[in-house]
This record gives sequence, C-alpha cells and structure tokens, in this order.
Amino acid sequence: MSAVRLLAATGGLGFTPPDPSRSYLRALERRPDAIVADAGSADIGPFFLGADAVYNEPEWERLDLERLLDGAARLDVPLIVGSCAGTGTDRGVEAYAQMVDELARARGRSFRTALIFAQQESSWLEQIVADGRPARALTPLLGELSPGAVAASDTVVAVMGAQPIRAALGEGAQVVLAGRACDDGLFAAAAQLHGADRAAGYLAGKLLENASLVAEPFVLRESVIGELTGGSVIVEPMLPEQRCTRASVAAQLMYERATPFKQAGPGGELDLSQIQIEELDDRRVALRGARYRDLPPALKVEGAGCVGQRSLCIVGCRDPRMIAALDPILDEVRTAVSSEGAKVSLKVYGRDAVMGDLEQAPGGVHEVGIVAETVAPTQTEANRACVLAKRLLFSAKYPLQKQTGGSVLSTIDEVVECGPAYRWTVNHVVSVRDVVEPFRTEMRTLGAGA
Amino acid sequence: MTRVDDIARIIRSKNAGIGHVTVDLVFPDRDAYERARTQITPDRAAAAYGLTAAELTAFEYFDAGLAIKVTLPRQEVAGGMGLGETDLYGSGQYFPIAELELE
Repeated sequence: MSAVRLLAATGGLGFTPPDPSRSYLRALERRPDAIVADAGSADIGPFFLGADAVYNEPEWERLDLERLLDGAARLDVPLIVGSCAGTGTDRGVEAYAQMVDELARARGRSFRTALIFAQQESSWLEQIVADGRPARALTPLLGELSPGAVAASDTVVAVMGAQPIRAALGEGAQVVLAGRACDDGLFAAAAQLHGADRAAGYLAGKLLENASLVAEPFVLRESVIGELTGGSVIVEPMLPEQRCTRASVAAQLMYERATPFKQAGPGGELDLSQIQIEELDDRRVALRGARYRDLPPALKVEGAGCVGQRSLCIVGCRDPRMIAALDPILDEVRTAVSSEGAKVSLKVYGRDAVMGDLEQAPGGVHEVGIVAETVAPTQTEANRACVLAKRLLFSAKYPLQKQTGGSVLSTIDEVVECGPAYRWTVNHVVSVRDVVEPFRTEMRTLGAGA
Repeated sequence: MTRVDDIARIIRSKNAGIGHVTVDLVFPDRDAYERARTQITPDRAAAAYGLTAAELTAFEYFDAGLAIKVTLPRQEVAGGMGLGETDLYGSGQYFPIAELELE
C-alpha cells in the first residue's frame, strides 16, 4: 500500500507574518499529496463571529496564501484552507477567494477553486427549533436551543466536517476555501481523496491540525508532515530544531478537548482508547490503533450576538489598607453603576482576576490593578458608567485611610471605548438530515482568464 | 518536597469548547507518570480548584500518552455575557495542579 503524505503548512493561516524558509520549503521537498492550512478557531471569542470582523492582518493572510498557492502549483496537489479569515463566515471565504484570484492573476495562471460556505440564515436554525429536532448544548451554561437564542444571534455558522470538502476535491478542486470547518476534517478529506484508511485520516487530522504544536520545543505555525500507511500515521516536524516525542504527540491528542479518547465530528467519532504511540527515532513518532465509527448525522452550530457597547478603564492601588478593604468597595461600585442601567465587571489583578472563584491561593500582595468594564445599550451610556466606576474607586473610603489625594491611580484619566460587545448565543450540536446539505459549494475558476 | 511541576514535561490549560477548561499534564517517562498517576486522584485535582470530584467534567489517565487530563466546567461560557471574562482562551488555569505535592 502506498503512503499518503499530508502537509500541515501552518497552525494558523495569517496569524503572524510567515517565514517559508524555516520549515515550509523543506516540507515541499517531501512531495506531500495535499497541503492543508487551518485559519480559524472559536477560541478567539464571540466578537469576531458576531461582528463578522476581520481577525488577522489581511497582508499576513495574503503572504500565507501566496506561499501555499505557489507550493500547491509547484507540486500540482490540492490546497485546502479551513475556517477562512478566522471565523469561517461567508465574508471570510469571499475575502480569501479575492486574494487567491489576485495572486493567481499576478502569476498568469488559474486555480479551479471550491468555495464552501458555512454561514446560515437564522431561518435555518428557526426551522430546526420549530421541527423539534434534537439540539444538544455543548455546555450546560447555555440552555436549550430556543427561538430566543436564535433571535439573539447576529451571525450563525455551521461547522462542516470532511464530507463537503471531500466532495469538492472529488470534483477536481485545486483549491478548497472552506468556511467554518472542523480542523481534523480538512486533513481527513485529503486522506480520503487518496484512499487512506478513514480512522487514520481523522487521526492524522487530530495530530496535524495545529501543525508544529505536535512537536517540541513549543513553536507555533511551522510545517509538519503526516504520513499515512494503512492504519498508521507517522508525524515528523519540518523545523530542524523540533522533534516529535511521545509527550508532544500525546499533548496534541489531548489538545482543547475534554477527553483524549474520543473526538466526535459530523456523522462520526474518532475513538483513540486503543491508541498506540511509538517513538521511531529522535524526531518521528508512529501512531496506530485509532478507530472511527459512524454516528447519526449532526452538526455543531456556533452563533454570537451583540449585547451592547463596551467601555473599559484600568486603575491601580498601592495602599495595603485599601487592598484589605477592597471587597465592600467593589460591591458599592457594582451597585451604583448597575443602578445606572449598565452591566459592570470589576477584576482585581494581583488577587483573583485570572481564576475568579476557582482561585485558592492566599492573598497578601502590595499592589493590585483593577480593570473595570461596562456594557450598556449605547457607547455614551457605557462610557458614562465606566467614568462613574472610575470616580467611585477614586473617591473610595476605607478604614484607617490617611491619604486624601485619590484612592486609586491610573496612567490616563480618559476611559477606553471598546465598541460592540458580543456573547456566544449558540454552541449546540443539532441533528440534521445530511451533513453536506447545509453547506453551499460554489466552483469558480480564479485567476487569469477567469 | 516534589511538586507536579517538578516532574511533568507539559502542564497547560485551554478551553475545551466554550463551556469547559481542560488541564493537560504530560510526563516524560513511565516512572514519572506512574508516580503522578498513583497520587493525583480526581479528588485531589478538584480540590486544587475548590471543587469536588463530582463537579469535574472529566478526569482521565491517558496511559498510552503518559498523561493525565482534568476537565473543569467554566464558571461562565468563554467571553461571558459580553463582559466578565477572566481568561478568554482558558490558558491560565493550570497552576493549581502544577503545585500539587507528590511523595
């Protein structure tokens, strides 16, 4: 059986300016059968999806797409890009398509390109709710999928698996620009195109989705090759100073998921409970024993909605008497600002700002920073609420107070306008009839002569 | 006194979806892993965060990877209700487990 080689070119297309000379050009010499680059994440929070805002510096995205297209053209292999522009909205797919078109024109060539759109009209979700189809929240912190949650969403995307990408590759796409997509599905689709074992394809996806994060020492965004033979996957970093080890691949199998043993996706689940990890030499690790089983068709859906406008200020305190008396002061500020109709959050850096209620460490610091955030229906109201919070902190009184110059201090006296604030409204797995149908694929010839 | 921090090779936390934070401990060899595996229980891991074992989302010994995984429910979904988030990526929640003491 011939091996299938997949190149994970970068763990985050456009995240920083690329330097192809470090590992990518070396990876191309291995003659991979497909080049894959993921561009997105839900980690970046609800703002970018809800506002459909630009996440990366577009010039860095263009530089990344340029090297990826050149590599795909040189080797005559498909290029698969997932979750275009960070959130995988329709705007993001079109933005990347325009860059591909311009880059291809500049080279006097063209690419048969599949644009796969993942954004959904709210009517699509409304119909799922109305039909009473199962929709399971991925966290108990979000309730059932309700008409209210749908109405509160400004942008909704469904997350595609390998299936629509595999279909586009089967139709001869040289470039696939996928909207919101499961990272592992990008690799699984390429593996399936070359007839690789299905479980090995998803295992390769899990190993390669963050590129050089599968190796050590810790480096982001560098290239890694996965070689699939039967049910086995061998991973090898292309950056000379990196190596794959049992620890580094184990860490990748655990990354950003609740359990290392199972990974559910659209229509199926990867089972790693019998996984075997073998260090082949000082740079390569082989894995086998992954299993894949079909599940009823279902898709993850992500939605985010605007909750108002945000304003923010940062103050410091260097008086141990005030620090000791901080909680009642913060409660007073919260009450006063809330009564003005704004939502307010006060976080005390130096005490428990990072871990909140989970913090078990004793206090006892000599200085703290307080971040006050307000959210209100309009920016003017948010600013006013933030100024109020700041001035109440400035004039706070506490036992044994001796200073009269101001209870907290700051580097600037104006507050910072942050613009619209968003929250996650939908993060559910919804039952669908078909895991391909909600995604619209459009084949375009981009570049010269198009 | 030995802490988990002294013998683990990778200690980190990250969101596992928007509603959970997961902590990964990966050990360099079987001896270190066995030492941790026999002493880090769900009760001890949970207590480091002021939680009970029943409140954990998941707790797994990953033998093939010489690793332990502890997943906690987030207090609010990532990003909160538009404000109030303390750690958007969940990447700063690992140190209480790093500080657990081992015999």
